Amino acid sequence: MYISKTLLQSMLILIISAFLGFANNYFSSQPVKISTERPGTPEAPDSTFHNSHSLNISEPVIINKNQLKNLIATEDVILVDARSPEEYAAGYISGAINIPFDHLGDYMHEIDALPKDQWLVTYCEGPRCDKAERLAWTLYEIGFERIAYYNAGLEDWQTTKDIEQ
Amino acid sequence: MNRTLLIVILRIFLGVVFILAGASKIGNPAAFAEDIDNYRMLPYALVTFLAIVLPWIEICAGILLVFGKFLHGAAFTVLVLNMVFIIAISSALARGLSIDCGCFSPGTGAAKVGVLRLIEDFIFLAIAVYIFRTAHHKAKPSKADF
Repeated sequence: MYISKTLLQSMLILIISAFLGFANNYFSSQPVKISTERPGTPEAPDSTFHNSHSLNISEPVIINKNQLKNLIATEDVILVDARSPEEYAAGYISGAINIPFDHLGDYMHEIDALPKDQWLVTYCEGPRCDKAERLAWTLYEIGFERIAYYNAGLEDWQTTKDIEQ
Repeated sequence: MNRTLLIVILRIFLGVVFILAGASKIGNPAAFAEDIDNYRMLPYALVTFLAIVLPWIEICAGILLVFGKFLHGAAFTVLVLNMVFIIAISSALARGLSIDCGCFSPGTGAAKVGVLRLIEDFIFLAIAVYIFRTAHHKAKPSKADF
């Protein structure tokens, strides 16, 4: 009987909260759009990566696979794998160096040695991992001038079979 | 200390904590949804539902705890919420995620997930269990109880 009373009261709390919550969201200036799809992150236009030497220092941008391939083909790109050393050892994009975002403090010498005016592209597993984005912003704050993060990450790149192990 | 007074203090304390936690989130459901989504544990549809409803569950349960009404349901709700928070934070820590915990004032980076948040939630869980058990024992079998 106590169990049913507890559940009944809890259900009532849930129902009232749901009602108030949806009403609040409806009238909120920053509402959540109810959706099964995550809001997409906009990618940088292709022009961002052309004539980039004339580009002013800008905040980190998102780069897609084609843009990254073109960039690697036309410029010296520092490709940075933001995952753990173990994950990196299991396979990484050709030419990428490893700067694990979770152990950034241990890699300050490596970071200091990198040229700050070249394109630097970070990546991690895929869109559901945030290390590439966070590393990109951290490096931007350190003073790197041209940073992009490959949001689609290794999962997307793997379709090109260009993985070193 | 008088046991009844202790329970009153504990439930008012826990109630106020939950009211404040909920109130800090209702102004910006979108930022709170982002904080929940950063845990990378739930499908997005459930993330949006939680972002909309969870702050109000905290407020409702908090108010009921403060006023000592519907104590079974309120304490049970807070108990379940804290268990969920503990699972979410533990999982984020285990995966090495460095994210805002979304506990208070979402989107402001007010608090990162960490061991301190975990300890905090265990304390709240212990208080909720104590209040729930006390309400349970205090209640005499009565058909007109609800």
